[in-house]
Amino acid sequence: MFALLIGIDLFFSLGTIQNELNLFYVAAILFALRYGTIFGLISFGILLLYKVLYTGLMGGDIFLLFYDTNSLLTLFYYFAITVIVGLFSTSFRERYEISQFRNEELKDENTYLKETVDLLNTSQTTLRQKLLQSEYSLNQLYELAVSLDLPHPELIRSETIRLLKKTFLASDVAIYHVDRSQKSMRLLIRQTDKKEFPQTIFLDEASSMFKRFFQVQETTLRQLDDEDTDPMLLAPIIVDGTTREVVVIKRLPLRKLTTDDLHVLNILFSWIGTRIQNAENLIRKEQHEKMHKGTSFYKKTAFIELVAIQEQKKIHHGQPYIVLEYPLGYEPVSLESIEAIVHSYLREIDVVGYDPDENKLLLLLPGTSEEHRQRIYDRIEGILIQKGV
Amino acid sequence: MEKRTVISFSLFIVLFLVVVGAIQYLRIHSLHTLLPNVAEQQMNIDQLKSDASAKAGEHQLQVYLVRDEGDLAVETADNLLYGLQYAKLDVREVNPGAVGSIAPSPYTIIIFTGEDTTRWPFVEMKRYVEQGGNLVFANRFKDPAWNALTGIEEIGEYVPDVYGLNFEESIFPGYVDLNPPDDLFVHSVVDFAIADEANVMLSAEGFPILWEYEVGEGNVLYWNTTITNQKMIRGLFVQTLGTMPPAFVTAQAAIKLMYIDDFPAPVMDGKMKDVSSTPLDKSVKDFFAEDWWEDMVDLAKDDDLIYTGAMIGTYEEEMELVDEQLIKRGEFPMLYFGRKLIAHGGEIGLHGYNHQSLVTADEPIDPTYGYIPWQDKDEMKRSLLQAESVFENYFPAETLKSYVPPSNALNRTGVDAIAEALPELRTIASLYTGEPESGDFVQEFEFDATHPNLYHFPRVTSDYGEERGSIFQIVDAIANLGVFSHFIHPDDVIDPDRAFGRDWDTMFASLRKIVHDVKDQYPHLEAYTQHYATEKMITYQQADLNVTFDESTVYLAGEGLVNPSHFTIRLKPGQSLETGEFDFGTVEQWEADRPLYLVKLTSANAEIAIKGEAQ
Repeated sequence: MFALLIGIDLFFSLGTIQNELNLFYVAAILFALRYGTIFGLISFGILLLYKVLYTGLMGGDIFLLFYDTNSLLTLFYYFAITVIVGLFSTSFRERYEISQFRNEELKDENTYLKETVDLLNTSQTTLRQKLLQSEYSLNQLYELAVSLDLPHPELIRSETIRLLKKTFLASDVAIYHVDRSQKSMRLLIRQTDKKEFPQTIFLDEASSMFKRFFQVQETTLRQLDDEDTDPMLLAPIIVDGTTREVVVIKRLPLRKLTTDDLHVLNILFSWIGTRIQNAENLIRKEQHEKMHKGTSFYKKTAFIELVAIQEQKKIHHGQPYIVLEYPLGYEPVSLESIEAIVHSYLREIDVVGYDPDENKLLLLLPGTSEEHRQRIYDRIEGILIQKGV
Repeated sequence: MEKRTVISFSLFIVLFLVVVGAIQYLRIHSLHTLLPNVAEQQMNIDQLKSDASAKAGEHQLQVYLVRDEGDLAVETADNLLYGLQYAKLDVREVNPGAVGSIAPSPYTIIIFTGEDTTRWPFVEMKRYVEQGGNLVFANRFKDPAWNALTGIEEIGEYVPDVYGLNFEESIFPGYVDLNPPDDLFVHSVVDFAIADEANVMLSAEGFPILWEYEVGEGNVLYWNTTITNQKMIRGLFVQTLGTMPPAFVTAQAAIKLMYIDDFPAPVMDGKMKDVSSTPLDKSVKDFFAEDWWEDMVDLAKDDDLIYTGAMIGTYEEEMELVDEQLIKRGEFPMLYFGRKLIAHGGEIGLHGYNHQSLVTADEPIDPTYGYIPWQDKDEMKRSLLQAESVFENYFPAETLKSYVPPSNALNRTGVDAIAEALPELRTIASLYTGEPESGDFVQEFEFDATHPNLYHFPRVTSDYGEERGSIFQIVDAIANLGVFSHFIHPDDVIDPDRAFGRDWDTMFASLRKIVHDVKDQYPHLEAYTQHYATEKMITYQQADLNVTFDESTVYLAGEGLVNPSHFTIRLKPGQSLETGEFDFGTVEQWEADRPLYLVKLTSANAEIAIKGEAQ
């Protein structure tokens, strides 16, 4: 700006700088007012230098600028005004900067408080959600409990699969029965049509995941070093302290499940065993009358009901079964002795009935394909003959 | 206020005080040595290049001055000779016995001085005039035999002590009528009855002082007075000569000078209201620094002046101060006024160690001054050298080139002392008119007879007044050779005897009117310092001017003419010159009853056509 003013002054030969009142000093004072003492003094210095040079250039006496009292007083006057105005400007700027600093501090504090409030709100929301979720979980547990409050293990298993699909979004689910030797598992129920679940899994031949599962006998998730064909989750159904059955879930969207869901899932697995045990006890109590006295052989009508149930399972879950009939040659001495012979050669899931009218021994073998019928029939027949039944 | 601001403010106040203190110390002690003064203004005195092939007219004006032996004749002849030469007219002195052989011509003028008509050849002069020659009688005389040439019909008694001078026609712009009791001119006239055909040009108290009278083909001018022996009539005498020939040319040096005496000089203590009629409640020093000087600067700017100051070391009468004391005493005036004077283009001349005129007890001086005579030339020289040392201390790059005698009193001892003590000094500027018998050092524009390097450049007028006599002198010097040289004393305003009860505003208004009128009426005068005025005057005087005429043309030519050169051209009524700018320069008309022109030459040759027929 001063270069422009000086340029105009020189170009038009105005000699403004020589006047006691001139725009240059006003400009310096304005500079001081706007930019503070330092820039004001720099401006004044530039003007003083220009005045000295201009005086010299115009053939004037530079000494007189400082010796002439009027000239000197004029310079001092403008110098003092520039300094005072500059100091006030600087003072105001400092106060402004301090206010600005305080303002920024307050803004920071405000932002922090806002963040804190947001966090509190988030926490509150989260807690509310947790609470709701908790309420939901309890509700879910209640529903599960109600759902599983069924009188028959087969119904409990079917309901279990349904709950796993509906509530936990699981797919490709199956439940296996573990034999007493814990060397094999036999398919009880499966949810999918795919042939992904074999009827029998021999644990010696099974993958490491199954072996790890049976070591701990707790809910086991597939790990990175497990095989891709391994199920996503294995969960024990414990009856009387023993892993009686195993829930096998091939696909389970763990990411969509909350921790609470998983807890509920574990509770579900715990409950299944209890519920099955209760159902068995109840069945046992209910079916006591359906059996021949002193045996576990079903009377014919009860046996037919069980076959009907198997038929339903075959229809809905594709689970095969076979029914074998053995006509006995004579009236048995006691059913208890026959039971003792037969049971040692049958599986736990196999059901035995006796038709006294036709003196037939009836066998219901769930999970057994038709193709094995003859072989099994022959084997059982051979045993019966061998024992003299 | 913030603590940081308070600290900053305190620091700046301390810095400010330190800066102020430093500057104050420097400005008082040695700043002037670090920042030398602006060099004195250099002015070029150029000369016009002459052209040998320049045309010339058939006629050349020739003035013959008849020198007689009577006191009045000698004084008049001496006086007029200077005037004619200053105007660069070609004048020759002849004896009365030789004047009869001068051939009559309209371009020839014969001037008779004195009153001893018995030695003058009447018959030859009558024939000379009748055949077209021009004749001037510069002093009144009683001789009925010459009445046929002078137009006098009846001769009365001598009348002494006739005061004033009145213009019956305007001869040169600016002249004012003088009336009793104005005593610039006190005539001794003869109570003549003159012919009706005589044209009275000047008069005083009803007496005709100058008239023109035609005789045959020629013209006669008759000065019925004795004042033609006085310097202040030279210009008027020269200009009236121009009424006779068909055309008449005089030269103008075109110089304007303004002196401030006793400046720079120590300033007295006290307040203005206590020592002057200027009712200012401020110190004399502040008045001169703030009011007086600023007014003078404005005056110089407005009316084109350059000041020449004349410094003195002290007002003490005895020469008792050693150099250091004198330097100390001159610090403020030399640094403040001296540097300002030079910065404004001026010159500092020397007035003296003190205000004691350089005269010994054996030399005349007005006793009312009360000055203590100098013992001898050596004492004068010591004082001059001591004053010079003061000047050198403050202006080491400059030299003293001009000297103004205190009270304008000086004599040969003083001149010798100046020439010997200050060999580089070029000019002594004293008075143009005065009373030598009272010690006034009255000068002509000329080199000193003893010291050829020393030039005398007298100051013509002085003071703040507007007395008509002073105005007349100003105009007459300009009419003669185009020089305005005026001087004032700053301390007049604080000296009741010289202020005559006037305050500064009144005095300054008078001074402003004087210089404004000069600028207005004579714009061709160029402002100079004394030194360059001297150089121009020397060049002007040394130049050869050749003015020739034919019936309708004025030819101007010269060698060594100052560039530009100025001339007046006077024509007969009915004639005129074309005005405006020409190759040779400019022509402008001046206010006068008869055609009068101012010509500025920027070429050494000019042919100026005359229009119209003389009536």
